[in-house]
Amino acid sequence: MPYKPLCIVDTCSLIYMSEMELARRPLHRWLFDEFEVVYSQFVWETEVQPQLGKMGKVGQMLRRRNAGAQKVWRMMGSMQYEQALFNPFSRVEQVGRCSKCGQFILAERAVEINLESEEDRGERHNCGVALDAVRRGSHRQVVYLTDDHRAIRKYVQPIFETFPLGCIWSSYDLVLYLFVRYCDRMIVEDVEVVFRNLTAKAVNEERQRGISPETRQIWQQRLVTYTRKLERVAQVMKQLP
Amino acid sequence: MAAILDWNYVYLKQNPFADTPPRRPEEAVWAGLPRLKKQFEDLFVQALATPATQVVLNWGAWGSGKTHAAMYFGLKERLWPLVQEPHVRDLCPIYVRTPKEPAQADQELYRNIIEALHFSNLRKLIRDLIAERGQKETLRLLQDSTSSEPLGKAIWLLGLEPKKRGGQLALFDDEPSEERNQLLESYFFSTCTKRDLKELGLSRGIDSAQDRFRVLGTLLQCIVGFAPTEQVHQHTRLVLWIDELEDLIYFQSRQYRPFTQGLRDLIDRLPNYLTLLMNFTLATSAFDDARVVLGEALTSRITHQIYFQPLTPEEAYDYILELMRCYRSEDPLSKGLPPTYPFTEDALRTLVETLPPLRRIPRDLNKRCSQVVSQALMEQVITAPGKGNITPEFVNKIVETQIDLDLGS
Repeated sequence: MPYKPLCIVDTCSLIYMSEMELARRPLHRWLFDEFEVVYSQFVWETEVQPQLGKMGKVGQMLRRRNAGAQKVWRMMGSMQYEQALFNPFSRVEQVGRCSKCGQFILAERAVEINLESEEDRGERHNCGVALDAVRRGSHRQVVYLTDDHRAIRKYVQPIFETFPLGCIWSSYDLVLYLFVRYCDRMIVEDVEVVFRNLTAKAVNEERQRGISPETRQIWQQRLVTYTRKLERVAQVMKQLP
Repeated sequence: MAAILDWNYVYLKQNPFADTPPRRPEEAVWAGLPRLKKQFEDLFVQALATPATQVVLNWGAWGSGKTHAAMYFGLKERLWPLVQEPHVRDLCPIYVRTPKEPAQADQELYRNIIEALHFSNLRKLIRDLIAERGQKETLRLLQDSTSSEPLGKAIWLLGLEPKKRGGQLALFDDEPSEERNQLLESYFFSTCTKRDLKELGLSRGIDSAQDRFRVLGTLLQCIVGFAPTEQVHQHTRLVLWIDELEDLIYFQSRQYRPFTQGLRDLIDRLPNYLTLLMNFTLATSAFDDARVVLGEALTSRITHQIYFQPLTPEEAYDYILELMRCYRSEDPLSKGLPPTYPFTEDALRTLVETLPPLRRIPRDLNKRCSQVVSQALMEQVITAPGKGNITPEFVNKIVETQIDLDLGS
């Protein structure tokens, strides 16, 4: 069996891709076939397992024969990883605004993370999984799959900028990757449909919590950006022998 | 507090710097932005004097004034003076928002337009058509237009007067008119039962998105009129504004396709005398990006596009000046004060330049002006009508305080 790259997945991505199909195949099927999908013990117990009902077919699959629990990355001392990675911790933040142009001024600064709090612990523990997988040599690089852009900015991006562990993907990246790999089995329009559906799912989830016009515009821009990337990929693929 | 925030102190009847668009067309004023205004006026000149259907994409940043434009130009009285005879006999402006519930988007749009048209108007319209062309001819016309016998007949029924004795429609004999109207209205809102259908003499209801757009197309055609196309003065120009089309981002593909294709079919069903204006908030300044969200079905039909671009510093200055002029209680010049009062001329220029170029749009300009003037009144920088003014230093102080608040939040 060929080697599968490791994909550390976040709960929201599993929710977003539930009930979605690409080339008449559930999106999560593509994901599980292409990658060795894992998450931390904490993510499984506090996020994935309680929300299996919201995950449609993915949820059903993870329930079957304890499949969900088997995707937990087995590691020693996950709390020590969290402690070491996030204390001390620094990230790029808005520190001011230019009085001339009004643009935000960004700078890296130390941030104190409350490690006692369970809020965002899933993201922090998944970062620990990424480090553990590379450190132990079982995987050379990892893919960190998440559609939680707040978590990316707050935790995942700063860690991946310091530790070259692999790349951070959104579900759009996953779909684009699948198109690159299987473009003979997919048509551009099918991929566009998935991009649109992913966006609709995400903005509707956010709308329930009260979406701001700015956030809506960010999602609009994501849809536009990935549609443009898709056009470019399709253009290149057509020219290849 | 009420006495301190007395806008009469700055010779304004009220705060002119609203952060939301007016709710009624009568309340809307147009300040500055002459280029944008002319684009709309040119569009409406063509709309009033020629048959061609126009599909217009109004696009720009959030807060750039698209809804405001819909309100302002939603008043017939503002459009008539733009043209001389010959022109269309009437104008029918309709304003609706993009449906917020994607699962029932086509139903919601259909219902909103029907409700905006009012059944009483529709009944009169069909009655007039029957009076002009006779019952048989009207029935045929409506059935041809909907490409459906039952749907065309349902519209035709709207125009028939109920008869008390031995009239055209036996099924309505002895029934009070109101009851019959309600039955028909239920039909158009797809809430009638099989029994109701039988009573109306209709073989089926309005079942699908396609049906709804067919019915809508015919009803709108009835408003436009059935006279030969070139007879401009015998037609009504329908001006349909659909606001917030960026909300299509909430639609899954299975919801988005029937909706956009339905709109496209509606445009195709009305090749003349329709002006469809679609307001669309776009995060970038690249028109091509709108294509991705709107899709090919709609963008391929666009005949005009109006970009609500950010204002230059000069345009922003003029905009604020003119906006204040629209709400003046007294002319500051008559008091020996500058036209920019309560701002000094330099302060107004400073205020405009505190906004980054892409945020120099009406909503942000209004917000900033409102903050600065309100604060000046509260801090008693202005102590009585015409006493005290807003300086560049005061503007900078307020802007910096606001930045700190934004960062803190």
